[in-house]
Amino acid sequence: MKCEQAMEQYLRADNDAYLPLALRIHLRMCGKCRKEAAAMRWALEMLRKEELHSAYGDISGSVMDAVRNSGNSYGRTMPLRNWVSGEVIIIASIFLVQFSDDRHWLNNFFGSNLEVPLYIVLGVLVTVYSALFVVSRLEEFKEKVVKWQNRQG
Amino acid sequence: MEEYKYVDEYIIKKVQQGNAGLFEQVVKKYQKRIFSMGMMFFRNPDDASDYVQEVFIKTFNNIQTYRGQSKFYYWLIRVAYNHGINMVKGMKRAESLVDTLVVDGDISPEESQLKKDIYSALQHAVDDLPEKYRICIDLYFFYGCPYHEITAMTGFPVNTVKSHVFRAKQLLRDALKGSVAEEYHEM
Repeated sequence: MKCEQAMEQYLRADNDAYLPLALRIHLRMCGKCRKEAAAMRWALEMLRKEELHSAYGDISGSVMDAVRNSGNSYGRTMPLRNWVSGEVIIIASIFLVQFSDDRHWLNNFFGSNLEVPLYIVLGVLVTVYSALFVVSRLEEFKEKVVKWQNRQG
Repeated sequence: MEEYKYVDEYIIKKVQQGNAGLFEQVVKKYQKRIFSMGMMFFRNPDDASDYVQEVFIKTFNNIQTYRGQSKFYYWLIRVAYNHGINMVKGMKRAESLVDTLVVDGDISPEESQLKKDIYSALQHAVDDLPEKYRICIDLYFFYGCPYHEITAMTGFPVNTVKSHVFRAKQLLRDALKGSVAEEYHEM
């Protein structure tokens, strides 16, 4: 690779781009290009770190006050899609559990005494899951209720 | 900025999960950069300070839309740029940060001269460009944005961005030829 060709390739490289092997080899072997490339790299790094307006004070406190007053808490950790998937899995499990071998074994072992406690447990599970869903999206539900009330007049 | 490359994304993930207090670290880290962009748009420290506040509030309010497909820093710069462009619509066009460069007095005479040469080369590159493309130079050289990010932000074709940056780099290279930078900063 010729020096001029190598430097052109170096100058065309993007910010933080991985340099082609041939170019890296050339830069290793050629002292003149290595010096030029190093100076360019230094200049680019210097410009990126440049304190353009050093007189500027810290306003992070006021920004954070405004952020806290903006009303967005982001306490929610699970997207709606995951909530719905969880709900579908729970409901499908309730229907499918009666066809499983384990259910037959439990029925044989406990007899009809199993039905009521099992459905109580499943009911509690669905209730807790739904309550968590509603609590995590309380603000959204509140807005929807208010909108609905406004529409009703 | 390299040393923080994974930390930003980790912080943002935590903020998205509800730890809003961590957002302050992002504000502290990038407020000066965003302020510089504000100065580029408004040329007025008061307006630029308001702009910084608005950009970070907007970023926080939209933080759930950050999917981690690019570095958070570029996403923030994109939010800031779009907000600035929307604010100055109808006003005068944003000027380049190159115009604001001043050589600091606390450095050696060699370094001072070198910086002057670099700034002058960039100034030359910016002066040669049509006004609307000057932002490419700022985003590439001062904000470290790669070509595709600049294209995504500005809507300019990637080859246009590349050619303007290439031209500026050539001028920079000429300015650095035979300078002390070549002696002191060898790889």
